[in-house]
Amino acid sequence: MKQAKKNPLSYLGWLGVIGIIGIYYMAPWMITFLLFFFFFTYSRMVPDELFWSNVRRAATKAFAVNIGFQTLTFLFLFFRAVSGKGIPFSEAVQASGGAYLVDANYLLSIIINSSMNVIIFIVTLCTFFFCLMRYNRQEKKFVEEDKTC
Amino acid sequence: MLKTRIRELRARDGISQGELANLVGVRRETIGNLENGKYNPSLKLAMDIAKVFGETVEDIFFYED
Repeated sequence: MKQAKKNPLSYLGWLGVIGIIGIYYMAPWMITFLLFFFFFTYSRMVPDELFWSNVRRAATKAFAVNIGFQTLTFLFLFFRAVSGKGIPFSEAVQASGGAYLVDANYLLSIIINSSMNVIIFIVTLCTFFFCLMRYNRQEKKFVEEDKTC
Repeated sequence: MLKTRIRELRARDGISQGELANLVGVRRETIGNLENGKYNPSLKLAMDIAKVFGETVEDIFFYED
């Protein structure tokens, strides 16, 4: 009989601690790391080849979603820039005494970019979680049907 | 489509899905999916299963149109 080993995917759950630090410092980007606690639910699951196959499938979908949203964000910012709302960095940010003056449109682009980064991070993680849960449910449902045979 | 004789061999040897899963180090779900042609095993898993039943891999896994 083969020994069951701990599921390595569950170690990612420790990244959730970054989320707790994020709550303490009220940093939205870090708070999203709380989602990583979900990985602890896999600590008891035997990491066999069907499990890793499901992880690969879920990761592929999450990767595709991430690339898609990143591309859309970059395209949006690019067309926003070429449509006249964007100005070169040298003009958008100017030093004045001990302070920096930042163009409002330029600042808005930065805010959009950073906000989208957080949103894309959440969407990517959620895509991975939901896909993995769906695949695991599908295989369980299948075995339950088999019990009746 | 890849077909298997796992269910038939389990019945012959009186082994449950869970017991076979423990013997080859996978989950019961994996055996269930294998039996129903929903998952193609790695060569290592196929050989492990063949060893449990004392058969060759070709005797357990085969293609059917």
